[in-house]
Order: sequence, then structure tokens, then C-alpha cells
Amino acid sequence: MFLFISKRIGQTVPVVLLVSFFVFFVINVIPGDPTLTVLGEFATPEQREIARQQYGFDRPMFVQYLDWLTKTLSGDLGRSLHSNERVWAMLVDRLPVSLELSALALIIALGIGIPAGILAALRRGTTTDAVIGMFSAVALGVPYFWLGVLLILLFAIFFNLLPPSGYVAFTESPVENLKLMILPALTIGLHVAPLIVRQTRASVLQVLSLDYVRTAHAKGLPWSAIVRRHVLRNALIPVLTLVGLQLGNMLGGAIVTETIFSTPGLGSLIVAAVSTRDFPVVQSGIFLVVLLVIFVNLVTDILYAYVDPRIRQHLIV
Amino acid sequence: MERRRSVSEAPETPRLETETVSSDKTAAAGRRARPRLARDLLRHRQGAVGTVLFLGLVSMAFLAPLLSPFDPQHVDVEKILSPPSTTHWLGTDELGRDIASRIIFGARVTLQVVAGAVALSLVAGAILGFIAAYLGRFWDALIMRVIDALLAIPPLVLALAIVAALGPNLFYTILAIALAKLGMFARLVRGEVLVLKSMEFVEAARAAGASGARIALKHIWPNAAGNVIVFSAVIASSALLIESALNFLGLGAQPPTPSWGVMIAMGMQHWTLWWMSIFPGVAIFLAILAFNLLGDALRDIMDRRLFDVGRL
Amino acid sequence: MNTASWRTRRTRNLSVVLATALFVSVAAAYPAFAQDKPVRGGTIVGTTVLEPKSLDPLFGDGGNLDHYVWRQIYESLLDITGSGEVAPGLATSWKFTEDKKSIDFTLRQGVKFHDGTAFNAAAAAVTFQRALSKELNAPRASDLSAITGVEVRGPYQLRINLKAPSSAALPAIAFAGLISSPAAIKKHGQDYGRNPAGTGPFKFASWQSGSRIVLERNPDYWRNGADGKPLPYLDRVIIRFIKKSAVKVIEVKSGNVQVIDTVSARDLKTVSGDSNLRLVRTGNGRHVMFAFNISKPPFDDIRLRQAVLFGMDRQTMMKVITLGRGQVTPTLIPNQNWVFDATLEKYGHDPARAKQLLAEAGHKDGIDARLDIIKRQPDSTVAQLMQAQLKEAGINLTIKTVDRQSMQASLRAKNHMFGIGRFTVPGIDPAQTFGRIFGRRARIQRTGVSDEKLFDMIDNAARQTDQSVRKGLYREIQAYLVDNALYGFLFFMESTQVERTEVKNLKRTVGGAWVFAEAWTAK
Repeated sequence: MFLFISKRIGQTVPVVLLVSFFVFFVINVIPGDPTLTVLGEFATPEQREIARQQYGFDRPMFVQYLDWLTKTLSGDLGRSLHSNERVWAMLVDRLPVSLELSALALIIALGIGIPAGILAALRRGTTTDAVIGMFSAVALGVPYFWLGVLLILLFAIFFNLLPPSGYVAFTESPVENLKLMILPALTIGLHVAPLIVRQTRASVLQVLSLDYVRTAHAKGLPWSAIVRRHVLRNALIPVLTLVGLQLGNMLGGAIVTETIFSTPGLGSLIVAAVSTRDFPVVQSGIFLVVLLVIFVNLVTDILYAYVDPRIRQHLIV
Repeated sequence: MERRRSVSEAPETPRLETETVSSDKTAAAGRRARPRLARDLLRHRQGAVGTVLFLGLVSMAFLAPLLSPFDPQHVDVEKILSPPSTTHWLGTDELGRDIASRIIFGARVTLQVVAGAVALSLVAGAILGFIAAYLGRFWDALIMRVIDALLAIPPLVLALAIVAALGPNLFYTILAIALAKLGMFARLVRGEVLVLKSMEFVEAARAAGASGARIALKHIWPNAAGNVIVFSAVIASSALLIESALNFLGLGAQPPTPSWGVMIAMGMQHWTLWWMSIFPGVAIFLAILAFNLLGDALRDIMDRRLFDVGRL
Repeated sequence: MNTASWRTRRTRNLSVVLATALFVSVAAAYPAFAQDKPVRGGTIVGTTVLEPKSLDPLFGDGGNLDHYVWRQIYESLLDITGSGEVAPGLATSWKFTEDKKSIDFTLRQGVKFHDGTAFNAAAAAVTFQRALSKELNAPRASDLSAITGVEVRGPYQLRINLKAPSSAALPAIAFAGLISSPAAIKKHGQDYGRNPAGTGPFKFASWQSGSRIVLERNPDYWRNGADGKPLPYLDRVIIRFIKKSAVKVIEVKSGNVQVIDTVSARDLKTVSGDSNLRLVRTGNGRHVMFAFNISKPPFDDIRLRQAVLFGMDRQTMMKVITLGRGQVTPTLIPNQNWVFDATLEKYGHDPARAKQLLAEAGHKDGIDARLDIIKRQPDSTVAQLMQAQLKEAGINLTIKTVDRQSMQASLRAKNHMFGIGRFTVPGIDPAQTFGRIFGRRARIQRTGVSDEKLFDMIDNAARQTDQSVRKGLYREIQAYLVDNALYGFLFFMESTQVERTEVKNLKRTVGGAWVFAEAWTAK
């Protein structure tokens, strides 16, 4: 197991480096004068020249990359060109919001997806199965940003039940916080739920066809007990893997969703930073999102390998 | 079969194992049964619905000038923001333009981007995957790590970074989506090639002195094609979602080009006028649904054949 | 010249300017508040479109918009009151020296900064020294560019030296000289912008970036309210940031928010019937215009520029965008301003004339041109209307949408053919408006014009003090702009804010920014 973990981490390192390289270069292709971000539109050409030297924009790109990478690795993310705030502080400020949003979205997706998936599998071939299948096919087709717009139309405008935008920290007021987070979380959650339904249905069906389940059934154990004891435990492992893999999608979806609902998470930070050409923030923001995705995938893989030894061997060999 | 299942159920996601996915059975199935594809598709319930929707989308795009009741660019200041009526079925927008006509013309832009993105990612991905598997060792490791890195970045984040860097433009949108998606094709093709490389008929061809490119075109490509079609439908659906999200954020099509995502964003400026955001959303929904249903049906059909072949 | 006589003259000048800026209408919006007794306590939530970049007043980039937050935390030596007078702020009196190149201020005593340190001449001097510092390189220092130095002449005596006698120095100090606590600046260094301390009615409490800033009552504030106790009445002010006009309107309608900044004309229509809401017109508005890049083809040819101007139907454009809450004017000066002159208008809607001009310039079959716009409303709608209108005149537009930063980079590099911008008008004084936008030291020379004659005209008009002379000079400047077809002055949009009726006695600056010092809430 140790060998597997170290090998898996060894695989991750070059990916992380490549991502950092890629992110840095894509972002630095952005046309435009970075001193406009630093100084705004009111500064003089002389002021701009001073700033260019201060921030090192006059150095070759590769030197800037190495500089950025070493500083990032040592925990110094620099300061925002736009607000002069520490990038580190900005990310720390935004990360909990995005994590809360993702967690709520996940609870919604799993809360709908797993029961529906199990039901569909157990009632395979019936109308229930068909209806669930149809709903998930339809839900998969709904573009989530449109769903966000519809939710605002419905809950904020027609019924005036929930506020359309904003954010209050959970620690400040849990009720206000949830009232503001529920619509964005639903937007992302309903987007991911159909994938969970399908994966759950498929893996439950697969486990049901395995020998030991058949044996248990033959021995006269009631279906409810079989499902609870054997099927669920085994069938949910691939579902959890899917959840790990969906994190990237969820964070991607959060970019648009946070923009719609003015939720101050990582996504809206990146969108805002892109439009103000705030390189350090865009770089570190995107890098953090990707690190999160890679980290979750790594953990899922390790968990999966822990549960299923075949995978471990497969990778080591 | 077991591994295939998890792959086909969640084709969107980077797979756990980077190693080979398909079995030799797939290859055989692909080779044998492709001519029956259209017939199988129409017999499949979801496949039939998907096909109809898809053909509807395509004919909307190609016949837009014939189908649309008005010129989508025609500004009419007398009719600004009028609700759906018998003249303007789906209402008009902030410049008095006919929304129905703009939706019909919007299909062109969307299909262009989707087709472009799928084609580009397919070609680039297939070439990379083939090179990786065929050359092996260092090149394989290098290419696959680069692709791991690309796939680790959430597609929309990647697309956002690229479009933000290069500027809003139809071609850059295509490029961004293709870059985000080519990894999936590369992995698929690499897997197919790895399996087929060791198979007898390829060995034989190589022994007979066929070149790498010739082997690729004559032997390996036909075998991988079945899965490539399935993947294309799946990727088309997510390309469509990314495209409309970019447009929604204002980073895609430029005004006055009719674009569904832009229309929804504009609808957000006029909350009380529901028709502005509802109808373009329905258009995106139906288009994504078309690709999803096609993808599901094709995979079903391929799997069933696989099963048939396996039983023989 | 003594203070009193200076102020008398200054008052006359300014009141003309500001009365025409419709300042009076703001005061008139509160016929009832004089009878109402202020209630203490409570919170008002306001929402504005732009999040400040920094709460250090030398480091903003939002022009007027930053003041929606700054004005609660900071005060300046001078104030400009609703009736248009330069009034005492942190300075109790001031006078120009004999040569008119310096101003002596006597400062208020007993004022404390939010961090507990005392306000005095030495502390006030730091703000101006920072503005002058080359090392600090503060972006907003340019607002105080008329100043060359500052001297502490006693514990509460401060002298500010000017480059040259200037009619705009006092308004500039009132607008941009917001005084920060030197102790807080020293303590927080680079992070001062997130930990501000001024002398204003509210103290900074927290900032959830991307969402809101919370301000708490300053219990040590120096001014007293109508009840004889210290201001402010409110316990808390929360300023949220919402970009979309439509969302702001939903929030204020449902009562989540009590006051919102400028909203679009169409959204105003949806609130006009609501008895819980009050519409407040601010004294200014925005002029939407575009600049031709005359340094390269096609618009180096005046005939093509004029063809574009004749090809547009600005009346229709104004009606579509503002629903009648606007004006079409010859230049960016709105029709109630004292330098407005209707006779300057030269370009009515005349597609035939446009085609003729195109043909004269050798483009019988029309021309292609690219219009750059910033991704925001109403610019995108304006651009598409222009596109439709100009098509009839034989000019094919492509629209390029970019973000604000790239637009400015492109304007600087003169990569554009022509681009839409907008300005808040009228300024406090035309010297400010014309100097900043068209003058020699304009932030961005949008057209690429470098005609010394124009620059001299603008400099000269700013130096003059006689109003009738100035009026003539500004007419000449505007005539130059119109005759040379450098800009397309599209239309003026009134600015209207919405507040809930429980909000009482909320004052606004010339630019429309809120001042919550004396505001209270009836709920």
C-alpha cells in the first residue's frame, strides 16, 4: 500500500508542475498593460515605468515563471495587482465559501442521486426505472446557469421567498447563510445529481448480479437485508469515485453559478480577476482549484485502491 | 465488461486508470457491425428521439434563412421588448429583434463551435494518443502526463483562462474547448492502439512492411471508430454546455451575432420579461438533450453488440 | 484677500454651477424630513455597482464610485454642501495668501481618528505628503496634482502650496484630500487599504471581498445631531456590491436593501408604482460618447468621421436607452449647465448626407469599421443600435467587446478605430471636465489629437476667473470639438437612485455618492 501511495504521488508531482507551467503561460499571454491594473487609469507614463520595474514585468517570461513558482512553493503568493491585498489572504477568504457551496451541492446531489439510483436499480425495467431514467436524461440536458436563472425567477421574483444574491458568513448568521446558499447549491447539485443516479443504478445492478448476492438470496435472506448489508457497501464505492471526479466539474460550474448569485467564492474571484487582468490572483486562484481537484482525485484513488487491491497491483506492475 | 461499465456510465470524467479501457471484443464489434448503426439507432427509443432532435438542430442551422420569420439582426425600435404574439411567437428583445429568428440563427453559431471543437479535439487527441501508444516509453509518458495535466484543469476554468487570454472570438472558443477535451480522445485512442498493437493482424501488417501511418489508417482507426463516435456525441454535449456558458459570461460570440448564451444573459437584465431568458434556455436544453440521447443510445447499441459478439 | 470676501465670490460662482447641476432637487426630495424626529440606531444596507479597489483614498480607481464607501470613513479639510458652497470640513477656515499660490488652513480641534490618535496639522500633512511621494507612486495622486507642497505652521495651522493660482484647487482638495490616520498607515503598511482609519462618522468593521463592507458607528464622531448628541444616528451601514441593475431592483423591492445606486431607465419603470420606494434624482448623469482615433485610417479623414455622425439617429438612441430620461446635446455638457450652448449642434440624422460624404472621400460602396466597447450596459445596446443605423448609411460596423482594462490599454496604444466611453457630467467645474477628458494632461487622449491650439484653449479657460469670459472660451472649445468631429456625443442619461421610504435624510455628494452621517431609518 505504501508503494502504491508513493507511486501515485510520484505521478502527481509532474502533473502539478505541468499545470503550474501551463497556467502561468496562458495567463501571461493576456494582452494588456499590467500597470493599468496596478495604478488604474489615472497614472502618468512615468508612474507606469516605475511600477513596471517594481513588479518585475520587464523581465523575461521564463524568469518570471521560475520566480513565481519558487515563491508559490515557499508560500508567498504575492499581492493582488488590483487591490494590493495579499493573494494568500484573498484565497483564504474565498475558499471556505466555495467549499461550503460544493459541500451543500454535494449533499443535494447525493441526497437525490443515491436513493433514486438504488430505487431504479431495484425496480429495474419497471415504470419507476423508466421515469427516473427519463428525469435524469432531462436533468442532464439542463444548462446549469439557465437553471440558476430560472431558480431566481421562481423563488426570488415570483414567490419572493429567497434573496436573489449576496452572502453572509455561516458563523455570523446560519439561517441567513443557508437562505443565500440554497439556490446556488441547488443549481450545482441538480446538475450533478443525474450522474450520481446513473452511476448508483449501474453499480447496484452490477453488485446484484454477483455470486455472493445470489447466494445470499438463495439462502433466503430478505432483499432489504441483502441490499443493506452487501449491495450498498460495495455499490457505493464507484459512486464515491465519481463524486471525487465530479469535483472538477462542480468547481467549474461554481464559476458561473457564483457569478449569477454574487457568491463571493473562488469562482467569482477568478472571473473578476480575469476581467481586471490581475495575474497573481488568476494564477494562484486557478492553480488552487486545480490542486484541489488533483488532491481529491489522489485521495479517491488511494481510497479506492485500499478497498480494491486489484487496482493497486494494476498500477504497480 | 466490468471496467467498460464504469467507463461508459461516467464518460465525462477522467478515468481512474490510465491504462487500456477497451477489450478486443469491442474492436471486433466495431468492425463487424457498423453498417447497421442507423437502423439500430432508429429502433432504440432514446436513439430515435435523439436523432430527431439532432436532425432538427442541424436543419435549423442549415435552413435558418428559410425557417426564420424575420431577419435576426433587424432592429425595430417600435417593438422593443414585446411579449410573445402571433407575429413574434417568442417575443422580441431589447432592440426589438425577433427572438424566434435569433434562436434559429443561434443554432448556426452553436453548431459551428460544437462541430469545430469536436473535430479539432478528435484529430489532435487521436494523433497524440496514437503517437503516445505507438512510440511508447518516453513519448508515451510525456504526452500522457501533459494530458493528465490538461484534464486536471476543470474544462470551464481552462476555457475561461484561454478565452480571457486570447480574447473573445469564435475560433478561440473552439480552441479552448478542444484543448479541454482532446485528452479524452487521446486516452481512448491510446488504449485502442495499445490493445490492437499486440494483435495478430497488426503484427502481420507490420511484418509485411506497412508503415506506422498506414497501419494507423487501415487497421487501427476502423477499430477505434465505434468508440470514437460514442465519445464524439458525449463531448459534443459538454462542448455545447461550455460554449453556452462562455457566451453567458460574455466571453464568446460578439454582438450582434445571435447566440443562446448571450440571450440568456441579456434576459437576466430584464427579469420580469420571462420570454427573454426562457426560450433560449429551452433551445440549449434541447440541443444538449439531443447529444446526450444520441450518446446514450450509441453506447447502448455498441454494448449490446459487444454482448452479442461475446456470446457467439 | 480675506476668507470672507473670497467665499462670497466663490459662492456666487459655485452656486451657479451647482444649482444648474440640479443639486437643489436632491434637497427638495425631502419635504418631510424637517418635521420628522431622527431615530437613533438601526442599519441601512446600500448597494453599489463597483467594489472599491482599496479603502486607502489615494489608491482607488473607481472615480466617483469609490466615494460611496470612502465618504463614510473619511472626511476632507473642506466640504461641498448641498447648496453648492465650499464649506468647512476638518478645516474651520481657510484663506489664500497674497500671491494666491498657497492656502492657509486652520484645522478643527478635538477630532480623533478611528484608531484613537489625534487629528492635527501634522497628521493632516501626511495625507498630502503621501500624495506627493514619488516612492509611493499613488494612482490617485493625480487628483491632487495642483499641489506642490505642504507645510505644518502650527499644531492646527496647515499651508498648502499650489503650482499656480487655480480655480479648481479648493474643489480638488474637497474631493480628493480625504485625511487618513498616519498612525494606522504606519501600523498596517501595505495593508492599510484593508484596514482604513479616518475621522468620519463610521468606522471600518469588515470586508467580505466580492460581497460587502460593514461599517460601524464611530462613537467619537465630532459632529452633533439635531438631538444635541453626537452623530451618526445609525449603528451600522452595510455596503454591498451588485453589478446587475435588475438584481439591485429586486433587492430594494423586497427590502433586503434600503438604498441602491443608479439603475437603468427600464428598471425604474418597474419600481415607479411601489409606495415603499422613492426615486431620487442625483445632480449629475452620464454622457455616453465615443472617440474617433484620428491617428490612423479610416478616421484620420474628417469626412468619414462626419459620415458616421450624420449616419446616427441619436434621438432614437436616447429614447430607446433612457426611455426619455435623457437629452441629446451637441457636446457632453447637459442642457442645464452654464456652459451649455444649443447652437453648437451640427450633426442631425441625415443618411443621404453621410453617403455623400463617403462618396466624396472615395468610398462609394461604404466602409468597414470596428467599434470597441467595454462589456457593460448600455454600451452593448448602444453599439448594436449604432450598427443598425449606420448600416443604412453604408457603414458596416463590427463590434469588439472587451473588458475595461483592455479597452484602456487599446485606447492608449491607439489600436482602436473608435470606442465608446462614458463620463459623469457635469463635474464641479468645466475646468475639471474639459481638462481631464480633452486637455493636454488628459488621462487618456482617446482621439490621438495633439493640437496645441486646443490644449492652450483648455488651459487658458481654466486660468480665467471671470465667468462670462470663461463661458465664451468654453463655447470655443466645444465648437472646436464639434467642427473637427473628434467625438460622437451620443446622449446624456439622467442618474436616478432608488431608496426605501424608511430611509430619512440621506445626503449625497455632487457625484451622487451617499453620506450617511445624518441619515436615519424609521424602521
